[in-house]
Amino acid sequence: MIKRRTVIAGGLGVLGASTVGYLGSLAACSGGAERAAMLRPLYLALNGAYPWQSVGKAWLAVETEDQIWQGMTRSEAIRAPLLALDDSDRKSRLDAAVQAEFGGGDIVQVDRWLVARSEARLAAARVLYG
Amino acid sequence: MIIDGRRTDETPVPEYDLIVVGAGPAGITLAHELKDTGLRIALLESGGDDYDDAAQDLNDGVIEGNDDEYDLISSRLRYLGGTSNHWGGHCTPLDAIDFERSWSGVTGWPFARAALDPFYERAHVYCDLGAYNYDLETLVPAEARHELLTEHPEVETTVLRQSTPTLWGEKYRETLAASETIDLWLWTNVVGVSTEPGGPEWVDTKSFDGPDRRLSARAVVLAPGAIEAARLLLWANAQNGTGAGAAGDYLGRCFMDHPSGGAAFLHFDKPQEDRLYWADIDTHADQDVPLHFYLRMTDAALKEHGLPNFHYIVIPFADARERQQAAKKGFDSLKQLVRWGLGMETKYGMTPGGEYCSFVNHLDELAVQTAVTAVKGEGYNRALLKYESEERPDRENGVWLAEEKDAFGMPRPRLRWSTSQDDIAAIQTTAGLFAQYAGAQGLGRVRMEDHGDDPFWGVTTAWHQLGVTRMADSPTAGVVDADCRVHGAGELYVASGGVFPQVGRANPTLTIVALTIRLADHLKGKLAA
Repeated sequence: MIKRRTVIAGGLGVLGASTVGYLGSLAACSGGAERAAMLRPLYLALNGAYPWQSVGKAWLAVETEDQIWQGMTRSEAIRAPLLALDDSDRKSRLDAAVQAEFGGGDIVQVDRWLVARSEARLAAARVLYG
Repeated sequence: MIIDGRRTDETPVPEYDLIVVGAGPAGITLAHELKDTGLRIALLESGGDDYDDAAQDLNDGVIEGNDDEYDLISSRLRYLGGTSNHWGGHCTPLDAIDFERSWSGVTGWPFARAALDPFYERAHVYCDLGAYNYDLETLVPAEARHELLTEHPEVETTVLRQSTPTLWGEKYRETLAASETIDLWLWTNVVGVSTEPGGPEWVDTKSFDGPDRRLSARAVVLAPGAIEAARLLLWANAQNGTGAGAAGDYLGRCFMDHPSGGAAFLHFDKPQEDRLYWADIDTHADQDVPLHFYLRMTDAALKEHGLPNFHYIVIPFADARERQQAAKKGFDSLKQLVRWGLGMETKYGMTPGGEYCSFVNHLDELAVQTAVTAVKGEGYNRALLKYESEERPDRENGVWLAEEKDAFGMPRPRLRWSTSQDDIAAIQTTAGLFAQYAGAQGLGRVRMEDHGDDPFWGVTTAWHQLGVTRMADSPTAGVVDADCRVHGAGELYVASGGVFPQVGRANPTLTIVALTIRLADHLKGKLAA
């Protein structure tokens, strides 16, 4: 015969495990994984002329994760390349967007590098989300 | 004729029409321009035919401000030919914009660039520069005109011509010695100058182990370099109780140089080959005069951004360049060995042992370079943007008389030179703009140089000493008038970079010589009358 105590303990165990599982999934999905998946195609914009790792790390001292995310999602120049058909098309669009930022003077100094604002944000995002 | 100022005989000194103090580029050019006029000219040189420690020590003085970067003794030379004995020979005229604007609180040039053009053309002969042509399109064929940043209208490639460099003493000594109207006095130091208006003009001189003399003339031209001209005038005013050139308290003030140094590195997206800016000195020439190419902002862009004039010397990263050159040597040696082995013609003087050792010695660079080329392609992947910038006039920079005296009892100069934070900020702004241009064109990215906690951001002197006897129409705005005559004095003139009211970005010797020729024309009319 199953004791009441066992039933209660088992029930609490299942509930606890479910809660931990749910909260863990919530944390993972509301954090980096979704954003990383969305941003990964944009990393094509990170130019080999500068070290994106050090630029990204330095930019994280300037903007918070949310500021970086919002800055990028609000940028039409960055959003548009997401709709590109392939990497080649996406790379062309990204390069054009970054060049347009330079042309418009929207550049920032990070770790003594002068890069487009979106480049700094993308570099920081890549440091954050991999 | 050449006279040793140390001589002690009693030969009478003639009455001169003109005394020229200083036998450097300005002084010798002036005397040479007037040599066929029949005017009796005394050209006075502090030193002798060659470098001498005792004469050179007369240059010493006190430094304030950015004192790590200045050296009053070795930046100027006291012997025949003056500082031309160690100049670099880079020449280009001032830009039109340098004559069109003035900076806050001071006046600019009292005439336009066009007024100097005929004299620039004549100055080219003295500086051995060939034709007066700085037009990129006519100097470099279109197919060889590999410029950077061609897509941005605010940027242009500017041309400098390379003098041999001309050594004025060596080039003109024989002419001066043979002249019947020019007396070149060596070892003759000027320690006093007449500054009273209306009186006879004279200079007092001293020589090492020689007699003191007073030479008289109808006019005197001070051409000993900017710092020395200001020192002489300051000392003369103190001795004579006059205020020649000092009505506006500009005498000795507004010292300017061309601040220079590394601003940033331009990292290219793709390796760059065969760009004009880093061509070897003999790659591009006009009438056998080598040409150099720098980047600058157009006059219109400088006005638009309110920036002082400047240019960037674009230097491909040294490590890569050295490696490439070493690798090329190794490869050339390998080719020679192969040709020798196949019995083909080899270069003159080739020895198999020498070429083998050259190949072995450069093998590591050859291997690295081959690997880099295979991965990244040919060319340089970054270049230093080295600026040479206009310094805006600042009354706090200047030359004053120090307490300490030189061997002839004359106060030594006290120089204060400190590049302003505004000028440093302007240089940083230009680097930002070039980052913008390069990024917009897809050329690459710029990284600012790290000068640590240096308050002057690594600024160094170009040893261009200018501006302490500035030119202005009004006696209260400058020291000399538009004819280089000292305000408030008699027939006393200055021929040196000291008269520049603004310095632009151009290396100054060509402009100094052009201004001197202009002064010579003025004196021809004046003294012939």
